Amino acid sequence: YTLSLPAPPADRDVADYFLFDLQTGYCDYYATSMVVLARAVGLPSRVVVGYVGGQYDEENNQYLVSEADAHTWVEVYFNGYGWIPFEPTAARNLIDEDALSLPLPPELELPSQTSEAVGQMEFPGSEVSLGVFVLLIIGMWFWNRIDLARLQHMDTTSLALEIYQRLFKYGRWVGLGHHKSDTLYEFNQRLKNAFSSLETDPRREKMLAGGEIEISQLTKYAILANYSVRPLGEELSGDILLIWKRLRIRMRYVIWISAWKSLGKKIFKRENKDVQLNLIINGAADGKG
Amino acid sequence: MEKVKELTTKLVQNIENVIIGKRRAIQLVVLGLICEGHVLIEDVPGVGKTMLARSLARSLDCSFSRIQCTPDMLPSDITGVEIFNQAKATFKFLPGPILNQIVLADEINRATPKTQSALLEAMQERQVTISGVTHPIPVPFIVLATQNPIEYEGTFPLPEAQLDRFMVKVSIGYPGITEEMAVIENQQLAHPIESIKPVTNAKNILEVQKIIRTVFIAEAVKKYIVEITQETRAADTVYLGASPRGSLALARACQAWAAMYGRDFVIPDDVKLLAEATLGHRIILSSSARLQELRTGDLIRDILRKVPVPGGDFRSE
Repeated sequence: YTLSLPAPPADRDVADYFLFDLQTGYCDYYATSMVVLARAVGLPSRVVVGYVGGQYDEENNQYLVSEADAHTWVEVYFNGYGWIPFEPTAARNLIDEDALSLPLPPELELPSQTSEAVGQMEFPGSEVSLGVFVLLIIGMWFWNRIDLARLQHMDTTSLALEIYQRLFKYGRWVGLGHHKSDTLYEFNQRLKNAFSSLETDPRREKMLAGGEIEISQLTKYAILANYSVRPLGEELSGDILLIWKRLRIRMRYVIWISAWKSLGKKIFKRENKDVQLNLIINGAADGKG
Repeated sequence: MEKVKELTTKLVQNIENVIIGKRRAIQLVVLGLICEGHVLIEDVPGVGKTMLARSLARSLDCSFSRIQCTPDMLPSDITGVEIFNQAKATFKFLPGPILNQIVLADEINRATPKTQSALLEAMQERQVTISGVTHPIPVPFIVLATQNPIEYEGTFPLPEAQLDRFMVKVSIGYPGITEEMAVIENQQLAHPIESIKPVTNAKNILEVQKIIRTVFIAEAVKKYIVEITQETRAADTVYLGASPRGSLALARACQAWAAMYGRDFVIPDDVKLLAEATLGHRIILSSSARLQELRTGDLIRDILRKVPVPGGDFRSE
């Protein structure tokens, strides 16, 4: 920083001359160069010329500002915050934050999104979201009860079919969609294969054991409901619902595992030695009675 | 239905003592029997066609006869002749081999068309008429006709219209290694067919034939059967598809199969299993398909993949 400089040559750009040749100068130079550089990287910026500081005159209760206090600095515009002052000149103090609290002329007023607004956006209605969550839980519980009551009032034949329809839906979620030319036994076999190939470790085995039997039972009931001449006995509906409750937990576990595995595949990008859940159709019917 | 299951299982197991490792083929032959249909066995020589027919006859305690078809065979060699007894000056009817319960017609494609039609007519009518006298064929009646898939010179291939009269087509095929070893072992001292005993009799079979007709077929499953048959007519690789006789045969076969497994209703899995056996030989492929070496088995498999399986209210993908 120096105040004793020769005038810059007339055919040279001031900032260029300052940055690369002079490499020393006073506030005008610094400010101009910073604005040029800032604009070069796409920041909207402007040169501000004014007076900084001054002496406080206690007797008259006013500041005494002289020409020595004249200064040039830079303001850069940031979206949402407005024009923020910067002090590029070396040997100058950093900007005093309190000075900003002086009332600015209207055209220099900062846009309304000040720190107060930002403070509000950090916790957007936390009480509201908690309330919504609780309502959701209660709603789900209600829906469950209504659904259960409806299922219990169905006749057993329709119940067996309805439950199997839900099993199809779960099957679709693990990629074992029911193709229109599959019979129930073929779907049954694919699902059972998926289960048995997932039982790779003891923890999983504990969760999934018995699932194959449950699937077979539900399939048997659905087949009887669908193709037999007699309607299913009413006493079976309790069994069906019980089996479905248990199987549903297992199916959710399977979905969880498969989602986890596909996530792992994406992250680690390696071939999983576990099952491919899209399996080959197995010709299951050796006339299962 | 339990009775049907019991009886057929015993029958199949008994025959399996002689024919080793060919359970499906044996089951299909038994199926033909209880459906009151006839069976066409298309196979290379030496795999046990005659043995199969003979063990069936022995297990049922029924009469058995074998017709070896040659090009110079006459219809009367099959149906029987009337011989003039000079001493009594009357005609005496000597029954031909067809007047038996289990008839094996070997190499039916070697017989002349006239003889073939005599045989097929007897199969259809279940009776033989000579000089105005009708001789009924004893029940339960089944003809097991065999054909060589390798075309030899001097054969008269059965026209497809006649093939339609056979309920199922069975192919036994070569046995696997262990099975063939077992064959050698079993036949070392004596042929096992000498030692098999009857497990049931004709009366039981007749009863079973009636029972299987009561097996329930749901409307949706009937529709499935008919849709499959209609698809065989609509496919563009087909010159002639299966006729309504085909759907009837498939339906009856499914009923029998369900009964053989102790079920009193048909499920689509039965239909899928039996489609090829019952419909395969009724279809004539177009010449372009044959040039591409397509077989009826491929066609039926494609159709089964295409036709949606019925299932109540199931909404499928």
